[in-house]
Amino acid sequence: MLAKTESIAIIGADAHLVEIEVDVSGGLPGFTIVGLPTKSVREAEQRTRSAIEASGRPWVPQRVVANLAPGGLRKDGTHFDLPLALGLLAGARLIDGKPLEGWVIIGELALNGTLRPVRGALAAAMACRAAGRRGLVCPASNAPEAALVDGIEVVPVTTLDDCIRWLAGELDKGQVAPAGVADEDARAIEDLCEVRGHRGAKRAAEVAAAGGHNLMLVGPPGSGKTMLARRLPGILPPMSLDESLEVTRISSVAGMLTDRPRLVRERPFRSPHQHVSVAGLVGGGTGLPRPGEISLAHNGVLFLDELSLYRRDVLEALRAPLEEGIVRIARSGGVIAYPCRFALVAAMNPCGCGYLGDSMRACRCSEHQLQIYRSKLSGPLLDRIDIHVGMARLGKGELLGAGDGESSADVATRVAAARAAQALRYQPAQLTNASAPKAQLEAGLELTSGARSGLGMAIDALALSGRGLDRALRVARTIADLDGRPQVAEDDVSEALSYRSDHSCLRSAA
Amino acid sequence: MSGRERTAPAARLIAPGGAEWPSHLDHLGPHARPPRLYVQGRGLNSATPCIAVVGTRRPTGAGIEMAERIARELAEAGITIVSGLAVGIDAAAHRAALAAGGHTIAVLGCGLDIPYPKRNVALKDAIRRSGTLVTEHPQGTHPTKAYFPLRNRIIAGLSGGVLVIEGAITSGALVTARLAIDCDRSVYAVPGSVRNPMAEGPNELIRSSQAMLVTCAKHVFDDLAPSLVWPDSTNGRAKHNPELTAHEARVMRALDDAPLSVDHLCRALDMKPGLVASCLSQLEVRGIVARTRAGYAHARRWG
Repeated sequence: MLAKTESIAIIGADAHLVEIEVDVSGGLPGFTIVGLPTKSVREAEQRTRSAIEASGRPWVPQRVVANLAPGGLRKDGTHFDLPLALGLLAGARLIDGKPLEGWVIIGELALNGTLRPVRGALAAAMACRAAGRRGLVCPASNAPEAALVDGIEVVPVTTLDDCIRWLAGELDKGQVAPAGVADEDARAIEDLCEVRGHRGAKRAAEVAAAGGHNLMLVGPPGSGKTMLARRLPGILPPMSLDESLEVTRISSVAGMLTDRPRLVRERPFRSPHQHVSVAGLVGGGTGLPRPGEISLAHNGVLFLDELSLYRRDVLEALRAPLEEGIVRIARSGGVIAYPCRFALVAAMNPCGCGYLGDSMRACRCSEHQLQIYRSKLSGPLLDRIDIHVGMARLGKGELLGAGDGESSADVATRVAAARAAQALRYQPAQLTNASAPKAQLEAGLELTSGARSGLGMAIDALALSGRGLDRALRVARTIADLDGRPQVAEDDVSEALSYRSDHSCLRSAA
Repeated sequence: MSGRERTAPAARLIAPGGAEWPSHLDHLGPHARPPRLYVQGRGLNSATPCIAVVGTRRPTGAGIEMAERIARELAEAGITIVSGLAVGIDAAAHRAALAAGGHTIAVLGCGLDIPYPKRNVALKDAIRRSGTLVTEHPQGTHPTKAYFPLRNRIIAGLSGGVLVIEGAITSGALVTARLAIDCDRSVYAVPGSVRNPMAEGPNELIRSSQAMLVTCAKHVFDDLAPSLVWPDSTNGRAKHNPELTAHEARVMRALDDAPLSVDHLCRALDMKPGLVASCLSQLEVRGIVARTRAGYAHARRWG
């Protein structure tokens, strides 16, 4: 007999509904799964068979064909175990198939019939709501995560037997409490006021946060680049619920929430190691591509320490995602897209030995070595970093004195106000001064006459390129927004110019 | 031949006694006078004082800076800068002279048409157009090790003096300095830190009284061309110097010849970092302040 159940396929960060038809008929005993299953899906045969026997139902050798529709969509993951097992039981008339209607089912089976957590429960719940299904049946440990989505029922099940008895109406599952808001992360207590000195760099970080600009910190070892970068998520405005759900969904697909399901409220901070591969950074891997570090940093901060130590091809791979806010990974099965709107914070030493411009130690690099060190960086990537700022090593007065400056909360208030001004100006409202299309930027860019003449002089004196001018205007717009001024003044423009890349001031010495 | 060569001014062959022949080359002490010279670019004028600026191929940033500064100021004062078109100090000196609109002579250890050193091919073309290329080797001669000391005797011979900026004790720059002493030319050396291996050469020249210690272009100028008048650039600068706002004047006073970070300036001036950054940019646009990789400093002509 033919039975039907429904599950999902995770494609990128999205879940797509998958209809599972299970035909159990006479003939040579066998188990075939069709519809582009990967190996982990095909292995469901072994797990379901053992789990069904463990649940006390007889396994009668028969011919079984399971079809995962749409057939052209690749299916990966172990969450097909439970819907396949239920379809099989219904097809073999061991349970009533009727109550399965309207439910989306996910769950990995252990051989003893208990359910294991799966990746992507939140995405599944969102797909479930979007398609107007009644609810989601999922492993109990995934339920709090799925319950973050309102408007659908979430049924937590612990074993295959438990699930069968719930379907038969013998058990009442009641309400699932949604996952709590993330408990205070250690990061949340890292405050900007702990960063001593570095007033210039802190100001630059504030401007970067306010306008969504990428930031480059250049300074000798131990000057506090990492410390400052870690505090950037804390001065960004809090995430909206939608942004939180997006971040949680990506974390869920990456399998990062299974042991501690929660709604991620703090902005992510990712700092991949210098030896990260292209697939690790932008997404990919064998089978269906997993989200990379840039997607895990979605709505947060991606910190690349010692930028010159990353492989060049890895850095080049960042260019398109930085521009588009979305990364597309092409595979034979189709193109998978993950969102990746993140703030890039890069850090590097000023030179190979690290002491160029240091007041205490002399730099030992020759001019030639300096050029080689800098030439390792990709120019087009540097072009996408609006704000470059140097960080000098602190003097003893600052190292021994009390922490100074404003707290993250104070700065975050100004940043939030600047972001609000941008939200009014741009359509859609998530756009920032850094990401707004040129036409929209120019429509909202009112220069004072002083600013206009200042820019004119700068173009000549600093040999500013078109791209350099565009970047300076975007940063100047942000500086005016931080000050709450509708017009961009000359001081804003000159401050913005001071953040331009010092790549342009490379002396052409041989 | 490439297009570049075709559009360049034609090479000339000059011989001793000819109108363009540099008479200095007739006095090379124990060293042989070159039998002929292949020349391309601006004509040679024996009446113009020449200074050879030489140094290591692996200079420090400070060495490059020094070479550029001295070469530019001497070129502006009307002195021809002679060097060997090597990477490092040589190239910096040639570039600075060209940028200042002065005359520079590059003496090659190979034929005029050989693109060597590869990294200076563009500079070589620039010198071909507005300076002079000189060699004693016919076209098509590839450089070999033995040619460089021979080239150095022409560098020293063309010049009234040799200025050594940076170089190890074994550097070719010191070979040129010794050749200059043989030919009875002056030798000048810019001292450096005793910890800087690239300053060993000039320091040793000074220690052994073979070179005169110089720290700026005027020292060289006064010794080399006492009959010429040093252009007083400070007057010219005062005219260019636009009025500064109160903030800009404060920033300007806090700045130094050595680069300082924005943080340092914020601290020293107790001004907001945004304001300091804005002032620095304004001053940079007007050319009073220079931005380097290490921070901000007075532009070279200031103070």
